[in-house]
Amino acid sequence: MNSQQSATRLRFLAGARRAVPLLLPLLAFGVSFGLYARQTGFDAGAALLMSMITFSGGAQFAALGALAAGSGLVAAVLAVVLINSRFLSMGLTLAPDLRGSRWQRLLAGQLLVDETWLLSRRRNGRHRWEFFLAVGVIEWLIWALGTLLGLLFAEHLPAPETLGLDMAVAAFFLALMVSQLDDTNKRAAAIGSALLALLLLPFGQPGLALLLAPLPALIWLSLPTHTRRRNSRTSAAQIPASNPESGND
Amino acid sequence: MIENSWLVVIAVTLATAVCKTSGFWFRDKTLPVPITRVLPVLAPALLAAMVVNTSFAGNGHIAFDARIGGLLVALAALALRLPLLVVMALAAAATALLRALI
Repeated sequence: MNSQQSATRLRFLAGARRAVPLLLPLLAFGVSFGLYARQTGFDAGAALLMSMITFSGGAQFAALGALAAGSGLVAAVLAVVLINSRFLSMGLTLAPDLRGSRWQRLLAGQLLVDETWLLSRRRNGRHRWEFFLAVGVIEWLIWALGTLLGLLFAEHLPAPETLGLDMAVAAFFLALMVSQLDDTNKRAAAIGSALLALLLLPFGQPGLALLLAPLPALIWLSLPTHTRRRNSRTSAAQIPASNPESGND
Repeated sequence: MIENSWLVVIAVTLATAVCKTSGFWFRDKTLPVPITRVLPVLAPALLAAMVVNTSFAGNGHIAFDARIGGLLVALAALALRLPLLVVMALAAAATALLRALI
């Protein structure tokens, strides 16, 4: 093995290690999806296939929730698009760092979920390809395994909520967010988006807050008077999409 | 009872795949300035919204329940600079305990 291969392997392992804290909560939520599919009368084989090829927890729960409420397939697909609309903005920053042919990139793009995007993201806004792949493959396996366990043993396992695992995931996201609040613009974006999400809760569409999350930041960044010390670099006229963010790593 | 499970899987998978790869079409395009300026602050904004959704989402309303305890414990643990796994475990334990008590 040459040194470049071993460096790639080391980065892959480093990426895998970042996913470790999430293994148990993800497994539990895979189980809860399997359980939910059973409760809603969804075909068990179809539920497992869904976890393997859709690979988007929020979308899968939203779709089954809409169908179980009798909303029909069109409404279910709309709910899925709303929940997953955040992938548009995530894909914008991810695309330049995917490797391989067009088809390989499209396939790898299916590994895009919140955790793969967040854990592969570097401070300069680029993404580590090996981290993205490592977290994606591990999470895909755990999600499919959890779904299978949920479908098989649902009635014998405790609900993730009983163990507080939903808030373990929230704590993970919170810790990730706090570690990134290193300048005024990011703090403003986080506070604005949190407030907007609170305001949108009565509408009962969690995807809406994720779709509109960039909006408060857009408004904040267009304000002319406040001090934006660390962001002056990005004010240059137009920056190619392949390198949307400059800055230190 | 949900019918046409397999059709649902195909429809939901296609919709998700389109969303996941929608950003890729702009790979070599020049994006408008407001978008390139928002992208660096995108992660904290999305994370904040996800934390709020997980902590306060009721069924179409804001819910104040055991999850607030878990959120506060997580914030305290982060302020004390405890390791990530400890922060997650404490948040889960506090939430589970409050759920059992309430």
